[in-house]
Amino acid sequence: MSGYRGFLREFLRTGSPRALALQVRVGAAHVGRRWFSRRAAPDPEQLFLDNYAADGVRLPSEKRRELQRAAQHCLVCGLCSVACAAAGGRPPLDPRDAVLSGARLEVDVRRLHIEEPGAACGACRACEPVCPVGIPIASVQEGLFSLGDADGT
Amino acid sequence: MKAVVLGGGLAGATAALRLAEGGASVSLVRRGPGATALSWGSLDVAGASPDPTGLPWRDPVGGEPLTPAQRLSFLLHSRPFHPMVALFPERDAASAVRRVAEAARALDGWLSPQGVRVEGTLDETRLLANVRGAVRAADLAFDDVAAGDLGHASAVLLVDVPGLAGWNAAAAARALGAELQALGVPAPTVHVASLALPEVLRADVARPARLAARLDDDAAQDDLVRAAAPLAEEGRTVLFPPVLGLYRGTRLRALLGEALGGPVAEVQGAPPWSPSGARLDRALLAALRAAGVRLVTGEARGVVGEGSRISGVDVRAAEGDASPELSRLPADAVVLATGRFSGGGLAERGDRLVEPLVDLPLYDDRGRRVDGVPARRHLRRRYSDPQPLFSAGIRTDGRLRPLDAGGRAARANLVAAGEVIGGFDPALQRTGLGFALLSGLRAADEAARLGRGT
Amino acid sequence: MTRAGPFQVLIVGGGINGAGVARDLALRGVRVALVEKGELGAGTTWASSGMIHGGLRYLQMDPKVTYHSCVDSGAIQRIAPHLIFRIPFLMPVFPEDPIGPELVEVGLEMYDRYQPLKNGKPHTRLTREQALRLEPSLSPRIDCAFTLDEWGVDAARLVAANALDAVERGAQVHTHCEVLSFLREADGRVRGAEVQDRITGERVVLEADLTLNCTGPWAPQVAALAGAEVRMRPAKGIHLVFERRVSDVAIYARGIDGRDMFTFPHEQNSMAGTTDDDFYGDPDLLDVTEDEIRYVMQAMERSIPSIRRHRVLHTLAGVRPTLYGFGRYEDELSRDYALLDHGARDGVPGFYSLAGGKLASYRLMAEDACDQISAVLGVDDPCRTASTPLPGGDEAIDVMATAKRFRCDWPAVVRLAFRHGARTPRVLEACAQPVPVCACEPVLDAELHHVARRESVRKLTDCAARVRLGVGACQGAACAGVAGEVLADALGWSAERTTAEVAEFAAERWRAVAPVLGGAQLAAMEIHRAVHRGARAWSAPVPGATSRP
Repeated sequence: MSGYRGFLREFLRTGSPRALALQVRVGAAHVGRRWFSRRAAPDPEQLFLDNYAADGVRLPSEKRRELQRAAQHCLVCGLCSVACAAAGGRPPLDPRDAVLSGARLEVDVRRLHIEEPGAACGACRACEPVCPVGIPIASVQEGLFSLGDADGT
Repeated sequence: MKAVVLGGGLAGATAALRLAEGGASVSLVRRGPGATALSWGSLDVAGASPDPTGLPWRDPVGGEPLTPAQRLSFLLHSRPFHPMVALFPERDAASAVRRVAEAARALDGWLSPQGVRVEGTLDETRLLANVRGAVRAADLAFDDVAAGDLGHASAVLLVDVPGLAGWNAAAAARALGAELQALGVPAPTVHVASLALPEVLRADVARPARLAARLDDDAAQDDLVRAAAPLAEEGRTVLFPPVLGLYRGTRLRALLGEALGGPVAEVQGAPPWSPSGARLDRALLAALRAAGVRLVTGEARGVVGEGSRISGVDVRAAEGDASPELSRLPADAVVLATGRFSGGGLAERGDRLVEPLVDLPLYDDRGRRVDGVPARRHLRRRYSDPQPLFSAGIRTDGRLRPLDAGGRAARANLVAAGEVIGGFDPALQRTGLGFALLSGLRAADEAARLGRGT
Repeated sequence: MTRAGPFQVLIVGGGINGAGVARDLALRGVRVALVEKGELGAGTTWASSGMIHGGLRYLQMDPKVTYHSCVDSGAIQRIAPHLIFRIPFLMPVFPEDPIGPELVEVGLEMYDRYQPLKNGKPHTRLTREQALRLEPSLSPRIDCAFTLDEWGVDAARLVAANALDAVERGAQVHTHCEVLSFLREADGRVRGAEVQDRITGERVVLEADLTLNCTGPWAPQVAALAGAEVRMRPAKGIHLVFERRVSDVAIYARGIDGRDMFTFPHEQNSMAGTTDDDFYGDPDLLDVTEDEIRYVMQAMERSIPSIRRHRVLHTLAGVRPTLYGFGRYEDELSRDYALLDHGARDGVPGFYSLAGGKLASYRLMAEDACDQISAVLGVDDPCRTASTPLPGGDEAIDVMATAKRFRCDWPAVVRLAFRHGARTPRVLEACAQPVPVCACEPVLDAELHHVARRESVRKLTDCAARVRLGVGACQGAACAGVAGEVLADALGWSAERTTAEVAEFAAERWRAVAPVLGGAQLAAMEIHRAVHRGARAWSAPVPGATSRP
């Protein structure tokens, strides 16, 4: 109950009559819905994911999070690009670019419905040993778009 | 004698190579490339700097440009806290020049079989331009940039490669003109000419690394030489952007030199595109392998031992190595050459600035203790102010043994080399790789002695 | 000294208010000039959270404010669809929170009634387990969580788009021009201003029938030049900017004093903030202090215990131009606005100040102010800003086809299209073959050429806000030098000017980074110094000569 007292105090200090009226109306509906309605509410988790799927939001996967956590240490030194080029790699996205903007690119791809973004590289992993901060660059590159909508977990 | 070298930049590598040469069984632990791999071709021992805290370009009294030897002498006599001082106990210029020449020869001996040469002496300043047209007053340099000395050139050509990312020859030429004027040297005439790349190379201009890699190929090199031939003019120094091959540029530069009739070099790069550093790093690794040094990719996690003597180093090998778990490397002597922040020699742990391996105390260039508090406490608000944080590192005694908080050698058989030793700001005082080389060699000698218990 | 004009209205200040008003008036056919002493939107606007929110927290005080905010948010979506992005919010409820879940839900149910106005989704109520699945970094101590959504915007770009549209409709916009004095007639009437170009030093007299002070936190200073008074209660707010996103959703956090803050995705990064503290200093000299950083981090840590493992890149600091109010906490002060007629208030006819307001309802506020100004000027054209698209906002482009057509990497084109919308092809045409300059954002040289030649960018430091140059992981170590050369080509800079611009850019980034420099960023700034200090040119200006004291 203490929560409600706190709220009331706050409300009396700043609220307006119009706000109070709305509050009472919506509050009554809320009580009705919560305690007296027999209708089954839709699964909120699914509702959330459906609501924001078009904005690129989806259930985060632990693996992807881990890659992003590692990738945040990038120094923009460019050594991965050198190693990639030396190994004859020509991925559509330079390894450095994949590391740097990968996190947002995923969102962009889903938001803009980009088909076949094509980030895949030869996976020769020449870029990984040269990273001064040990980012698993090839895995970042591989995981960029391959954890597609099918793999939501 | 078993030696463990921690850190695989120029300091660690030269220490390991010298120790291996002396018959020690050497393991080198390296996390990955560090500051050495991001360097840009000059190996300054006593480079001049426009910064007031750096070494002067001209004699403050006479006004004549100083030679690197004179600058080194100036440093030894005017910067008592610079760690370079410990490396030159004689303090006179003649023996300093000799010592540096020996070191350069040693390094050249290790690297030349791997395709990288060390050039220059302390008798002459080398004026080298970088991709932005800024001029570095350097001394020793690697062969990819060394021939680009502007001090002796009467005419310089900057080769424009249309569309090449990160290279604007016209802008660099403008900057170069302003630089030479500011330095007050007899300026060569600076020209810019455009090079029409052969069709096969054109696809890679947006990615300089790929273009450089493509130019490692003999046929591509020959194509480029043919395309560049119209730029020939006898005696003119020709500066190319740093794309003349990634690892096989020696042949290309020689061919271009013949075709163009003058010295050919790359301009110095700047991160994120400075292939000189990548070439040096690769050559060092190859030299270490050739010398029989055991390379361990991974991170040293701590040292073990009884009393003040270290008996081993715990290492966590990087993923992908056979044994990802902790392994212990036995050690009679340990060389700490872990660099500073990009090498991992200095780090913040839970909001505290530390030397993470042995937990040595850290000092800035004014001798103030800086470890144990957040790194940002040691920053000044203005970028141009001296930043104590970036001059911080460990302190050593005259034999390069790291000191503990009481001013005594922290461990009996631990020595340090390279920028992990503090007391100078490498960005402002252009003694960077030179100090790494000289301290690496000296640390090896000390480690050999300490490892044998003498 | 040159003269320009006469204009009908001279606007001082090129933040979102000034630019919004300039566009509104230009659309009504009014002859407008705008002067800004720095870069457009580089003050409070750039330091804001960049949100076009509907005003959930105003529901408690006055649902009418929420209604108008939501309607206006919907309008901005129509006129600048390319500049905005949806931000879903997670609002965790902790056992010790003063307001329990039922009341929170009632609040959100109230808000749901307004959400459709701005194309928002209804709230959801998640159990603890569901919330932790959707956002694993949330504190496991939560009871449950709610979700809602708001819209984010590239605020600096929104200002630029407004200014650009104004210019295309006949207005003049002068950046890096500072007002030296106001022209006064014998009766005290303000007839324009004498301004000085801070780059060339040139002085210009701009004559105008009416002068409008839109300088946000600088409003009292500027009004004082005209002998008028603006009373404000400015409040400082800071944000911490993280390297890449902490999460794709925003997460509510509560400060030790009970204030609401959040971590939210913004472009490539996440931001955390903001603080709200009375500010008595000079808005030109803002420094982020250690206690502000700790206050924000403490709040974030309660919601996201692992937040300290994330790399912090830099800080943003700004001053809110809050209207004067006595005896209330900073946070409770109204974000209301007022158009002050200094003729009636201070006996300075022809001089007005637009004070207060918030980014989210800038358009509405500009409309209201311009209605009043139009009445003074005798202009009867109605406001058209709610229906006329901003530059680039008229149609969507096909990113992949454009990337293919101009042979550039598509991720760069995605970002370009975000900032320039339908005008993206026009931007890419600025170069024969666009090449990348900055990898973090990413930025192409064509965009720099474009903003220098076709927009009002005059300095390299302008590009941080305008195209997000150098605000990523390397803070301009990799890109500032190259970008300086691109601008030099576009604007005809000398070598010395170019070097000085690059040095100034590096120094500006340092100011933003230094207060939070630590952890992984230390190595990045070591490289930054190697590039910008280690390769410092002999022809560069004396250290400190160009940076602020």
